[in-house]
Amino acid sequence: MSSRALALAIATAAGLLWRIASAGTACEAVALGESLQDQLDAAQQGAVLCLAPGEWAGPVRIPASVTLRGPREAVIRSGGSGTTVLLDGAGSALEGVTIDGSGGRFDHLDAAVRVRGDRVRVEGVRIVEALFGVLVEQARGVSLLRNEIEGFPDKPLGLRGDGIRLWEVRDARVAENRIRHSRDLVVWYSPGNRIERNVVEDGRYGTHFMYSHGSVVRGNVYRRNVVGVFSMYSRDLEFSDNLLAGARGAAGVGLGCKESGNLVFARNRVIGNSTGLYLDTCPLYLDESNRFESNRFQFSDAAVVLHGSEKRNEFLSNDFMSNRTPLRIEGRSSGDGVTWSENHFDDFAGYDLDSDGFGDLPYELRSFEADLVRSQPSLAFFRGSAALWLTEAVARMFPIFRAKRLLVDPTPRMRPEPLDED
Amino acid sequence: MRLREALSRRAEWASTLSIMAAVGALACQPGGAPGAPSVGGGLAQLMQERELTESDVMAALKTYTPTGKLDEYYLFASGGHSGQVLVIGLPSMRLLKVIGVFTPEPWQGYGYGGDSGALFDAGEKHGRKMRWGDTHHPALSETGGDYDGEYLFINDKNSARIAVIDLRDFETTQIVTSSLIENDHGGTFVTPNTEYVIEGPQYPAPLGGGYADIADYAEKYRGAVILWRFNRETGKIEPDKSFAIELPPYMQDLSDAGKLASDGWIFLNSFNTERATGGTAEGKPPLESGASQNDMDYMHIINWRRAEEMVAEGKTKQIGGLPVIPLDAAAGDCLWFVGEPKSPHGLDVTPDGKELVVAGKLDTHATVYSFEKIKGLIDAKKFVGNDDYGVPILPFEESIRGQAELGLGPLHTQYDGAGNAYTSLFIESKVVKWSVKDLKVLEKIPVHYNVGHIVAAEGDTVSPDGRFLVSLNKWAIDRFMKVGPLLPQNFQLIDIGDGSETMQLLYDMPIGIGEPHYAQIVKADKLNPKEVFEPIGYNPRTRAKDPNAATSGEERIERRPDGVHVWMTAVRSRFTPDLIRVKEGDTVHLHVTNVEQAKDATHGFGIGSHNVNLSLEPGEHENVTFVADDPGVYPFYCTEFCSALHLEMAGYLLVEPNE
Repeated sequence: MSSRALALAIATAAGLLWRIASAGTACEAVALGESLQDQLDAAQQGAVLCLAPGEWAGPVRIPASVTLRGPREAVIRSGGSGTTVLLDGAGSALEGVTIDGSGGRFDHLDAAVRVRGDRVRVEGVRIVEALFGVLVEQARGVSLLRNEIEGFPDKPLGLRGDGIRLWEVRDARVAENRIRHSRDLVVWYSPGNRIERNVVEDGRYGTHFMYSHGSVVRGNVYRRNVVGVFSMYSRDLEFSDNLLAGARGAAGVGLGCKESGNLVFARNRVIGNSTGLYLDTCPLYLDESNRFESNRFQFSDAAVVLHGSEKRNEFLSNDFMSNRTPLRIEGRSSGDGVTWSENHFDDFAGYDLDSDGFGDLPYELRSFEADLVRSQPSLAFFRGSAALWLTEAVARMFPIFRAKRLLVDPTPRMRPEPLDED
Repeated sequence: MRLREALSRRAEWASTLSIMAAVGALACQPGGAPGAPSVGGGLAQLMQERELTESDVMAALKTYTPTGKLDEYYLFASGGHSGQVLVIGLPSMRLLKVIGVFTPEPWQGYGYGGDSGALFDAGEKHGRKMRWGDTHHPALSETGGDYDGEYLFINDKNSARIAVIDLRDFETTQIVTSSLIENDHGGTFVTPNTEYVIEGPQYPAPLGGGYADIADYAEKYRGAVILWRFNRETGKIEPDKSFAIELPPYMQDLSDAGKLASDGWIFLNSFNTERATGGTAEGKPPLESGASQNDMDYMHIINWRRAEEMVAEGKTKQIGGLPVIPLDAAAGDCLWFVGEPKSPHGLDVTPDGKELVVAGKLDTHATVYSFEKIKGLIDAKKFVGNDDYGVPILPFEESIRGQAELGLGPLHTQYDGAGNAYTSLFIESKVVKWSVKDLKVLEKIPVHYNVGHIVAAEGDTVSPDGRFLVSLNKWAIDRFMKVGPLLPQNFQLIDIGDGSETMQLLYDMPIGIGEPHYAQIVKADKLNPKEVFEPIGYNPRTRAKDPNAATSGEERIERRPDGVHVWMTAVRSRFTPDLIRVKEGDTVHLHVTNVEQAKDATHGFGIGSHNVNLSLEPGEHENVTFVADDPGVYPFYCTEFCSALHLEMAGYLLVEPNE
């Protein structure tokens, strides 16, 4: 053989051997009846163990670099106490199986899956009836993908554990998971994580941030939670292309913001919440600002609520449709620190003679401090009735009090943006 | 709303509508309407000029207290880092007094010479004279679980001291401390007949003082709750009849005593069962992150009558001068745990004593525990395990009656007389009113800004009044005029009526003294303060006539082995004697008595350059000792306006130089 051909042959052989060795499809099967834990403990570096369909008794500990994989029909069942699967070491992974249950101790954070180690993967796992779904603490580069976490539809919210809980975690990817009937998706003291294209329904906090700077929340669907997303004490956050819908509870809020800044909130649909967006001291720092752009706020009692005189917030090109009011300001604070431009308000009573797509008059929202419904809440019953409308109209025509200006948009857009179909 | 009601309401509004149209038309006429009532016209114009709404006018009517009229309630608030207690009248929200407690207060002659020095010395820690305090939670003395208006207790969180204030004269009469714990927070709270004043710990440390490295936190750092025995007759806490219970290093937070159904028990919550200690320079998460890792912390359930028995049985160790029940003896005998959600910060027993409401700072729920269930689980020894220190843990779901979804960040709960609870919501910056029975939210009112505690009239007793609630807000931001970067706190008075109507914000009161934490509201007629001190020569520190009381006609100066003694009277408008001659280096003992008995006839007594100022209320006696080590001429004078010849109420201290 020529030296060139030889070199080629060796390279090809080496390549083939490399592919075989790192294929990952070469998994060691674990048959029913064998001790899963013994096999895991004995597994080599980088080994992949495959579970046969059937029932496996937890708790189970997966050591570093080892992957445990199986079909949905491979069910790891909790023994009734403690955490069911512990991913204990960097690079370990859990794929595809079903985990049924966990212990019931809140004070022990009993979970279906607990992650302790960098670059751990939990993918395509189905979790049912566990107190906490996936618990990740003090780890970098973890990925939670395409898992299905089903909590307890019959239990009151306060008695469920969290679906996903991140504490002191960075550079995680939490994507394409589906969480239902759980409590919260918690991201605390965890900067720089990506929460993308998840579906969180019928829980409490769709996502709750605390001291979690630089997070990205993109393309998620939040439905029928008490609060869609709440950000506390966090900055440099991106929220885009999410659906925040159906938050109608005691504190029903689509996006809540407390002392958080440098938020970009763009192209979200905030639909059917008691309050669409709630701002309380947002931004906090003088060098921070927030931008709300191209969102749709629809079917809220109040689309935007300012708790105090919020400053350096910009609303650009949003659509406000079918909300009882686009803006409410609490505590007689001032709305002057918020700028509005090119937003569409469906109660804009102006015209567009030059047909440039923007109203020729500014949109102004004023509050009459003799707000009858505020001082006589039972009058809310009459919202939409002629009598109440007429009373308020008279107050406007014969103003005893000078109305306070809540918001001015100098260039209101005549038409809303069309929605992309799902 | 039923149809008939609805229709009649529509009729009401139709008539209101026509009235409004009429008023509107009238308002547009120049010069006002002829025949309109002058009060109405003047009021409308005033409202327009000052930009007031009808609800503003109602709020003003409910709070304005004209000259000569008195308030209905006392609000006693902690003065925070001022170290004092604030006395405020309700509903006028006028500040009446700042009682000197842990910090010297010259107007009251507190800590500038005089017998108050001994009071401060009793509060020494590690041999250091402490001259400030971080007061948090005042507690009014109770009889049968109701305020009796006799005493007020207050804590100093910073250095774990407790003070007693006698509400007969609004004077601090005692400061007690023990070297057992370094700081406190769950204090002060009282048992229903003020048998004990509870002082709960906060940041753990080795009990009794001494050193242990932070790495030994779990083994060597502890908390301890002190039950200080109170003697109502003497009006003093009795340290030698007090005791403590050792607790794990869980950073206990607030306390409350059971009453009626739960009389004999006290409860504390905690927020750092993770036992995180920070250590950011060593690569560990900061304390706040570490203490937020767990989903639950532990409520401490303590049977204090059983603890009393254990002390009598001698099952204690002496630490810091107190008998302490060790943790391993207390566990399961007088101390149990049950989980409470997410770093809780409020624990409030209901007026009937049957339930406890715990609110988790970062939760949206308040959890209502049933005392009957807790007692049942303890009696049946039904536990889910022990903690690392051997304390049995009750099953959570079987200890509660239910949870109420209140809103974001519930903290503290108060009650009215109609079965409603009021809870502060820190994150939402609101107060929520909810039905305890139905676990349902009734109404919310926004508060500005960042509410901590709230207090309702007699709202933590067995018979709350309802009527008023005050929101103790931490930040004022833009509520008041600008006064530089350090801004006051904001008390907001809210009308809660009899619990059946909407809550109404009445008034904002700025507090620019210290950061108050908690307060108590008591009906004014429950207090019976003195107006003068009797008999003449009464010393409020010793609560008796002073043996060195001076009498008119018998004032004198005597030289004795221990220095020069001066018996002096103060009366409008002179001090007798008014010339005091001493020699350089003499120790001077002044015994000064205000021999007046007329209301408000207070005399001050200040000596230039000696840092001495006394306040002598009618009948009061004070003793001052100092060394005249600097020869010279020092005027002294009455420092509190007393009479037409107040300026003339002066004298000279003449310190002759040694040759």
